[in-house]
Amino acid sequence: MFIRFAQPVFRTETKSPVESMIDDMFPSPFGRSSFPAVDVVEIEAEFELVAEMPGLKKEDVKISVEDRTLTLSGERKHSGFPDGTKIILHETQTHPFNRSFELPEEIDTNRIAAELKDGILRIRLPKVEKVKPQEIRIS
Amino acid sequence: MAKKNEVALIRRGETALVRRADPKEELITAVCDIFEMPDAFVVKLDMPGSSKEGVSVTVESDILTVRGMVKSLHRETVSMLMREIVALSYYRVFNLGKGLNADRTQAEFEDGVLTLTIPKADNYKERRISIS
Repeated sequence: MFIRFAQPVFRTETKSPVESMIDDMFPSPFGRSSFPAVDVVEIEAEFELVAEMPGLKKEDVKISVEDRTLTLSGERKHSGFPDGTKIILHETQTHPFNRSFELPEEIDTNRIAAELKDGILRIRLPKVEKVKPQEIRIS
Repeated sequence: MAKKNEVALIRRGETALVRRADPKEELITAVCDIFEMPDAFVVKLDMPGSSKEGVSVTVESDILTVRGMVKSLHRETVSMLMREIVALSYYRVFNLGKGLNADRTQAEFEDGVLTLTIPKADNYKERRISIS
């Protein structure tokens, strides 16, 4: 099962040459600088992509699938500081984001469904239903 | 057990540096924004994956402690293909200054963000130091 992980089925394609250069200059402890953080898991009949999206409403997130590429994009619009306030600390990520994933062949892109709750986005990626072998009885 | 202020050592994303505050529980510092309003301070903490029920806020003398339990994001029987989310419980301690009405702190949890509004006391004054 873990061979898939080595062969990046869900390869991400977000980095521009400049971003890659910045990553090379400031390597992170486990090699990611992309927002949002994403987990991908495989359950029997489907894959699930889980992304951390604190403070985002569903209208702030756009999910699109083109050919075999799934793209997550958007911006955290509902944070921000009210006018006239004094900012004391700003640690949260508020830049627009754009992250793409190459989907495996076996995903049925027509049945992809997503849900956003408590800052966690879950995208269900069902596998194509396999045709059951048909048994022919001898009469 | 470590002292309160020594527990929250890491930021989200820095898994390599995760330290155990308690052998049974791994904690991670919630990223936050703080801003000052005319009559209150507002603290917004990112706690994706936690819930209204899982968050606790306590005030003891001048120390405000926030905890957020995170239920496991995945069922146990799955195989992980990509792993970036550090799904630990959140923890953060704030040392409050004088002049705040911490007992009247209001808390709200929405979209994975905890918002705390800490009212200023009537006698709150910004300390300005004049340059002579």
